[in-house]
Amino acid sequence: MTKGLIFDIQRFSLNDGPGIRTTVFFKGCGLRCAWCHNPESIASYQQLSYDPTRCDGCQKCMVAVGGKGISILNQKAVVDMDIHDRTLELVGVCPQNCFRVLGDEKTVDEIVNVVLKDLDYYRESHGGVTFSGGEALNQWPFIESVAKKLKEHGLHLTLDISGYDPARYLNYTTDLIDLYLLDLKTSSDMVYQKYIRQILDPKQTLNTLKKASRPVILRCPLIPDINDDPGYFDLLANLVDEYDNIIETNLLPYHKLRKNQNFKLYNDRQFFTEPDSTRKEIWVKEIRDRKIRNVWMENKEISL
Amino acid sequence: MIERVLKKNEQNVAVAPKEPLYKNDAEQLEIMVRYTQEHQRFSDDQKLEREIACLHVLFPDVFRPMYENDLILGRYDALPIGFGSVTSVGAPGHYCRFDQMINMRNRMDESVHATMDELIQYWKKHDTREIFYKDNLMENIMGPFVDVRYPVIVTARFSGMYLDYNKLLDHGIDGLMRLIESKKNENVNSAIEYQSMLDALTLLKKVVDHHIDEVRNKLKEPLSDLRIKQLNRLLDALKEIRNDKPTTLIAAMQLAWLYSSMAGVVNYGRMDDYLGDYLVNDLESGRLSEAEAMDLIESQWRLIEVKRTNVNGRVIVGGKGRRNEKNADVFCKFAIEVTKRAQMVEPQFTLRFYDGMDPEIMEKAMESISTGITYPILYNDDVNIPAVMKTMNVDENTACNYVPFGCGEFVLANKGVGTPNVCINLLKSLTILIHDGVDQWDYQYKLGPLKLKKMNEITTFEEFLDQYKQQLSYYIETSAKAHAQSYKVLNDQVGFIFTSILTDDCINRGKMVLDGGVYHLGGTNEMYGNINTADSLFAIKKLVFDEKKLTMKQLQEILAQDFDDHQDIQRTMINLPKFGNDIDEVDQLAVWLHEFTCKHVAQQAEKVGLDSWLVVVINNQVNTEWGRATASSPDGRIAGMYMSNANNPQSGADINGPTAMLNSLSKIRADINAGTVQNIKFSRRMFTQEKIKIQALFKTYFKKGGPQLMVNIVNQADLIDAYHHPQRHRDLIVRVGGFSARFVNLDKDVQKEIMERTCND
Repeated sequence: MTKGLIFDIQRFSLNDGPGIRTTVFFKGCGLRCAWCHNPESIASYQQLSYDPTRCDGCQKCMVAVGGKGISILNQKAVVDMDIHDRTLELVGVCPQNCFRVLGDEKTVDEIVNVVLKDLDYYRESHGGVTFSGGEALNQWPFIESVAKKLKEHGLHLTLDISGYDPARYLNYTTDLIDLYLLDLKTSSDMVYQKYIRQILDPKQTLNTLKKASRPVILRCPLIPDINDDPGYFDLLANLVDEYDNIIETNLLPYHKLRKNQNFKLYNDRQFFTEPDSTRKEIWVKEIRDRKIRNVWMENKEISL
Repeated sequence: MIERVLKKNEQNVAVAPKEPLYKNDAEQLEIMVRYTQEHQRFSDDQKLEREIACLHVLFPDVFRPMYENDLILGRYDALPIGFGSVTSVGAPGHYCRFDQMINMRNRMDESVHATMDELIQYWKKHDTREIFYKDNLMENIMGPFVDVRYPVIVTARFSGMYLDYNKLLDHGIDGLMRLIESKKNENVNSAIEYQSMLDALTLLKKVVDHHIDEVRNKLKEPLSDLRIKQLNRLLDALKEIRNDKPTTLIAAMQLAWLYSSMAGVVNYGRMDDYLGDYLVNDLESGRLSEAEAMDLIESQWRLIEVKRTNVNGRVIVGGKGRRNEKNADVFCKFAIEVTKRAQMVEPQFTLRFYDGMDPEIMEKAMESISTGITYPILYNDDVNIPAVMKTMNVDENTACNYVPFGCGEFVLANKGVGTPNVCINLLKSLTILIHDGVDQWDYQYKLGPLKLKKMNEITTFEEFLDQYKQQLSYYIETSAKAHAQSYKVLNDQVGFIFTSILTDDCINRGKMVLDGGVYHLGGTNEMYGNINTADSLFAIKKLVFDEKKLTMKQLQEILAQDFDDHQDIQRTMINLPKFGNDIDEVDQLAVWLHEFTCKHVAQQAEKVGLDSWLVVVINNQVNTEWGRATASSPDGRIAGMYMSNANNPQSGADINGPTAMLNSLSKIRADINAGTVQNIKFSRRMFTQEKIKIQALFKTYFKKGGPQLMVNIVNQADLIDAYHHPQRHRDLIVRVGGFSARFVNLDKDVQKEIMERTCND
């Protein structure tokens, strides 16, 4: 593989592993989590996005596609993204820059060059580089080439994974990756089926990583009334107890993030209730009741 | 042609209103008449006698009575006519503030109008700056400070003098007088100079006496036990310093402060260096408790703040080359604590740091910054000392005494002059060039006698740059001569006697500071609009020469119309890569511009007889004010909009995060100029939650050669709310550029510029 498909490179990333990091977000994911924060990361190809707030109703896009899937309503173009998911030519048509391509094909060197710009910051802060997604694991052969080059500079590398690994790449990653961020999405098969569309067993992943003596940070997206049941915290307690390579757990309270862009969705995007402070206190209590060590929420450690 | 309306600019940079003067109009007028009469008695040949006579009119009368919580004394009111060094307190030399005089005239009874008119008429001819302006401005090219219609502005001021407080405190007044006496025989031709110095010190004694009397009278009133104790302590200190050198902290502070007030200096030097020993002695002997010492320092801070210099009021702590580092560090920590708790806009509290400094100091500094106070401002000795050695051609010991003054120009404390008497607007210059010499702001031709190629003859970007270089060279060379001339005019009019006494090597040489007395006669040139210019050059390169989307003629037309009917092109320009994102092809143009201007400016020093003449990129709010009169530019910026501050990315243009921003900044060489300033803004949430990582960010930037950093901790929501509801946010402090201010006191477009700067959250 000579090129990787990424949808963002975020420098000065502070929440994807230790120190100051650069996070490379890869596009393409086999899961369909309904609460996904980056639904533009799901499709594994370049797709079109459209920002209606910039549109001034000039109709140039409508003319370009011969009216198919684009109409004008209240002086704004209404674009059917299912039809125009891959009509990338529209980017050059719009004078208002309403259209963008989601996904950028990059070579190994292109990524390495961006990442190395902040080398001094990683060294000073004991930071490094995180490969995230989408599901980064899907593009492992490409990432491996990037990782090898970065290892020449002694960089700390983190891989952010969901645990879904149909191509069975995980085994090949452990020589290069120093730290894993692993999602714990739910304890319930029903939630897996209904909201994620795949059933995962985090223990499989953890076994592989334990065998390879690789540390793991568990990441727990908590969506009120969907996955924050007592069974979830029981599972978390069991895992932390059983796997001494889990060095830390991060609770990630659900929050709604809407971007001003339309694109073809591949998940059943839903919006859930954001947790209030009472709900967060309940989570803290669940952690304390089970005496789960080293759990953090919103940059604070939950004291036991 | 588009009709332009320019929002009025004040003659001087002024943000926060000063307290009303203590004396009423009639009393002020009486003093000003006497001052003027004294001035008239002498010719320019008798400038030193004249200066002493005039100072005798002012001092001690212009000191206002103490405030109830003053622990040291000296509140000096600058009248509309008087003597000073800088524009922020009075004005340079013998001055008349005509704006204030006219206001006063309008307030006062008609019976005094004739007198006031006479004063105004007299000073139109004799005000030091007016004398300079009379012969040194150039139509459409070089205007007075701050007339934003010109691409170049000049002034005659004497900013940024740092006095040798160690010499003052080591000797005391009598000791200094003996030192001066002893030099009389060595320099027999300097009898007048030495006499003026002795006369000045005699006047200082008179001012001390005045304050002794004031304290004695105060003690006759019914007072609390605490106040009696404070005043008795003060009385002892004043009695001590009248003749002898100080032995306590309060006496040392008191002497230094009264001296600064009379000299008219508004930056107060390396305070931990000259006060550290006194503080530690007092603490160790039990003369002062820690709490009392902090109160004393806070009282000093109040005296500094009330002067409302806005862009001055520097206090420097930390750094290499202090006499007794251990004791100085004690003062340094106390001062940081006081700054944090007092939450004042001034002093512009400045920390010089270096590899190997007591880590507790940086820890305390970060705590102070996290409160949102913007202080201390951080200066990196490991970068700046080698830079000063190079740019000013001095040895390391001398360079260790570099201090930033005002907005951040480097000067050698008590050894150098570095006043910024020239400012150049690089962006305005560029827009003039693009339109073949005609400023699209007021449609005047502003290339003077230069013969440059017409834009439609230019075929390559290099050719374009070459024309720009010729234009800037002309502006730089012309203004260099004016700068040197400003010193000559100042020196013809005044001796700056108090400043001369405490500036090396005036006493030894028997010469006044600008008459050959100062060890290093330098100067600085403030550059404005640097980053908009770099972004604009990139846009020209890309759109006109690389991609050929526009011809120069089309560019001229589009800009002349302020993008009317060409919003798509404006958007293309705005969306082009901008400086501050670690993108080499743009950043390199900023680097080129910086190096070209720095080198060409530095080369002028020898030609005009200065020891150094150096670029500073240290904007206050003039980047906004000058932007108001700068035509539309190829970076997509519309006419009248603010320009980016100093070397910082255009507000909001840095979208790749703080590492990218700092990487772009650190590409700009720090060793060819005399100071740049860089702002970074974090939300309070991020700065406190990610403290360790942010400190690592700063540390890396400094290791990469970052010379300076000003950190502003704000909540973006607060800024927006303060913009709309100023009454709710009277205490919100922001770093503008070279100074800090209460946000609500700033002009709306300055507020907007700050709001739109990237906030890292």
